Amino acid sequence: MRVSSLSDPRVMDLISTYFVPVLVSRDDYQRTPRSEDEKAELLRIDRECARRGLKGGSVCVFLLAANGDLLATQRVQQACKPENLLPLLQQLIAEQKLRPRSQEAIQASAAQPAAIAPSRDRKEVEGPFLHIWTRLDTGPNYGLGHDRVALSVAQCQAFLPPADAKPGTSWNIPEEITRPLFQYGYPPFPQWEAKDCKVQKGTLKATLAAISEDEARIQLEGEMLLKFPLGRPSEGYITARFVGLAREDRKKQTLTSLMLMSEQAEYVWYWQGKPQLRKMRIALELGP
Amino acid sequence: MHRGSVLLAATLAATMVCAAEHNEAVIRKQIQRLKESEVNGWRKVPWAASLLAARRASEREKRPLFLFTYCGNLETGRC
Repeated sequence: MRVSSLSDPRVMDLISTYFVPVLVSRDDYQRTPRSEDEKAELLRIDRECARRGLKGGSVCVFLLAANGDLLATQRVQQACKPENLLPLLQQLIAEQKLRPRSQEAIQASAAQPAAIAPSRDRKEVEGPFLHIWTRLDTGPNYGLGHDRVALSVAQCQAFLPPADAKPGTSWNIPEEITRPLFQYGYPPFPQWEAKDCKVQKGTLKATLAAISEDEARIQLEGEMLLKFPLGRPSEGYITARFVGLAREDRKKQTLTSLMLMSEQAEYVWYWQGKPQLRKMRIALELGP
Repeated sequence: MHRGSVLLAATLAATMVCAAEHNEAVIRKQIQRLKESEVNGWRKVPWAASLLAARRASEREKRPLFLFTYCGNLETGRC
């Protein structure tokens, strides 16, 4: 929905100009739980939907009147196509003879970007953070998955070269360090819980490429095998080979850069016992 | 002999630095390309902060509300 209808300029224009738009996650995944009042309001909307025999559900568009009455609904299966959602919006705008909202009103009701943006990993308030991006490159477009996880001191230090290392010295990053990071290398799908993923293999070899008084450069290469169930009984997995680089500030003995990229990752899932292959890309990068 | 070894070591070190720099530029570009592939028009919509905030604005403006409910986290693409 976010990469189709909600990013369609025509839909964006109508919902921004004629409606008060709001997004609500049913389960607050990676977000601060909503208030009891908000839960009650959502329940009221769901109950009204059921009482009136309208098509509802967890993933659904609801159009509400100013007094809270339910005007119309459209399930995601239809609403994800702009050609279905647009007529519903246009019809309501025409029926209610809506005029465009003023810029002042739009600004007054819009959330500050910070109110919705830092939804990732809210429990973790201190970095450094590792950003993990995933994308399916074949099949339907599900957009980009983007997780942000806090790195512990131990995780950062595992990438730094041993004290006596010389260019060419190699060491393995322990799997207890790599597994929690590779766990997020799953595709952006409606099956979205990271805890459902199991890292079967997460190797990473570091090699000191260059060292000076100020900086050490470390080359990285590794492999990942991640189990990722897509419903039952089907089960899928992701395989990826990574190449990357890290930098250490030698004076502060801190990790200043970390990048890992897999351009040719593969996601395999099963349909009626037959493996289905989709290409994907996975990137990990140290960032704010 | 010793001078030769030193020269070889220096050449190898220089080669590794060049390779690391090249790899870093390539990987940085690949990551940037991946990040830029995001479809994020939806972020430009002036979403209200919460359902209750949207309901209040809707009442105040006497204007309908567009609510999209989903599972997961739209912000992270995990939905």
